[in-house]
Amino acid sequence: MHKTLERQIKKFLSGADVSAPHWQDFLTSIDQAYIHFDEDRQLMNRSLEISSRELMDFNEKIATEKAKGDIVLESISDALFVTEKNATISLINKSGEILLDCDSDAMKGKMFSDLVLSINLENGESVPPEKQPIQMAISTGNKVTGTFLLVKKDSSRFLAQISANPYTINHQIAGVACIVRDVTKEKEIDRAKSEFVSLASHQLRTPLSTIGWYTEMLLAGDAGAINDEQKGYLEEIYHGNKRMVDLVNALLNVSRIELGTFMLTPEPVDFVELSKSVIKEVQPQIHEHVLNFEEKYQPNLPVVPADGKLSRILFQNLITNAIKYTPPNGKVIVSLSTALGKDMGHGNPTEEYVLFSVADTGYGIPKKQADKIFTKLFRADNVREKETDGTGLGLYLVRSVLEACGGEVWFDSEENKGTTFYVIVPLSGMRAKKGEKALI
Amino acid sequence: MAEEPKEGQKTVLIVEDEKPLLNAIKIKLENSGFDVVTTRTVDQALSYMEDLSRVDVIWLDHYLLGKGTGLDFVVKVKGNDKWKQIPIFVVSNTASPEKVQSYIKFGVTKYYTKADFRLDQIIADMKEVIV
Repeated sequence: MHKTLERQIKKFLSGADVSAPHWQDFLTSIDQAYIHFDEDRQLMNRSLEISSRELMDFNEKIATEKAKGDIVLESISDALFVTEKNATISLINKSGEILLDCDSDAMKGKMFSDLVLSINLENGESVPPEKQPIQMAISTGNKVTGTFLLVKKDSSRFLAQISANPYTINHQIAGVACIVRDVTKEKEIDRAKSEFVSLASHQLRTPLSTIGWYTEMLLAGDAGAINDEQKGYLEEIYHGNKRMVDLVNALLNVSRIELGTFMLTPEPVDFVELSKSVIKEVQPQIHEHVLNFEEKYQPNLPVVPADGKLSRILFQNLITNAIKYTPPNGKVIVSLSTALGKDMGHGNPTEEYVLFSVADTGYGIPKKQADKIFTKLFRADNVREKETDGTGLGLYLVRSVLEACGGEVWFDSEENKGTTFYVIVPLSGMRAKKGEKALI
Repeated sequence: MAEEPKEGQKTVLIVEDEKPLLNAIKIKLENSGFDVVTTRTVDQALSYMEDLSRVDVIWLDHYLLGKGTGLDFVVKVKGNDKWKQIPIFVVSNTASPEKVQSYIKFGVTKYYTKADFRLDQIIADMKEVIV
């Protein structure tokens, strides 16, 4: 019998004959109830013990994670602002305090737009709060980035790259984490570098003109007859100089693209005529490389509003690459047609484009280097071994120009089988871009 | 003051500050049958314009010695009824596109970047214009 029941019988039922059968039945069922109750209690105790142990573990985990989070926040050199859904700041790291020269407590509950003025770099006007990354990220639910000139309360200013990333709780946007980076120095260095290249290139062109013109005159016999050996040497000088001029021009173009100072002026361009004229210019190289050259033009190809000079750069680069990187007796096919974005899997599906393609049976682009082919100063290993003449700037220029004008470039290639480059320009025309400098 | 040209010979005024280039242009133009007058400044170019009995064509650089650029010279030449018909060929490495636009607007015949063109090509274009 359960101990408690036994005690209570002794205390309350003393003198009663508990051995009588009706008592026996009664007490047995109570005894069972007591035993069940005990079992239940033990069970509950055990689960309580487990829960509290788990809770303690959990608390420890939270504390560890918080400590980690805190140290991560303090360690990152970029300023971080975390906001609530209403864009008010709830968390700032040390770098944020330093950047805005303001105590964390003084910033909490305020909006980022209350603390600094954001200036649009293109028009110099201040950006309203609802157009700033934090509020845009809250209203769109997407990551929003941008570069602005930020003006602090004390009127000091700096160039900042801002990236606002929304976070969700239970699938609802709950606020944003916003990273602000002072990029003043980076931009200055970048600008100084590009300006140096631009200046140096200009200065280089005068002596290059001198070399070019005097060599031209010697070759033409302006200073008297020359023998074949002398002619051969002078031709080497002339072509070496021409390569240097091309390199300087390419460097100037790159610096203009990187300074953002190049301009793009669309005017009606007949791509077929342009292609024919570029091919005429490179006829000597086609001949020298013994290539089978084919041109395929869609009849009545529409005239497209495009920048003539830039289009020429695109055509020249892709055609001379095909010639340079195709072994003798190979084939190059240049073609121009119109195509819809969706049929090519490039551009906007519903937009119509002019498609310029150059297919060759050349060395091809190694698969493992395919993603680097448009990178500045990159040259694929297989062609570097075969052809020394190449700046590593051509395809970089092609892609930069197309990115600026709403076009696209891509390629298919198999090593030692050949490569096809595709360039598309919207039939509606290249996007105009105001700038100080034309490309050369 | 330059000598008077021979009968039927065309006179070209070259305005270029870089001596080696000036020299190359002069020799090439003389070898191509031109009577050549050279200067490195806008001021002297203008006094040649006044003094010479005729100038048939002008070869002009943008940046020059002394005060004034090629553009200042063009403005003066094209603003003078006596001279405005004279074709001007601007051959420069340094002029920016806006300046090129200004040159074209003021009515120069053609603009070349030095490093990208051969002398014989520019001279062939010149001959075509002044025939």
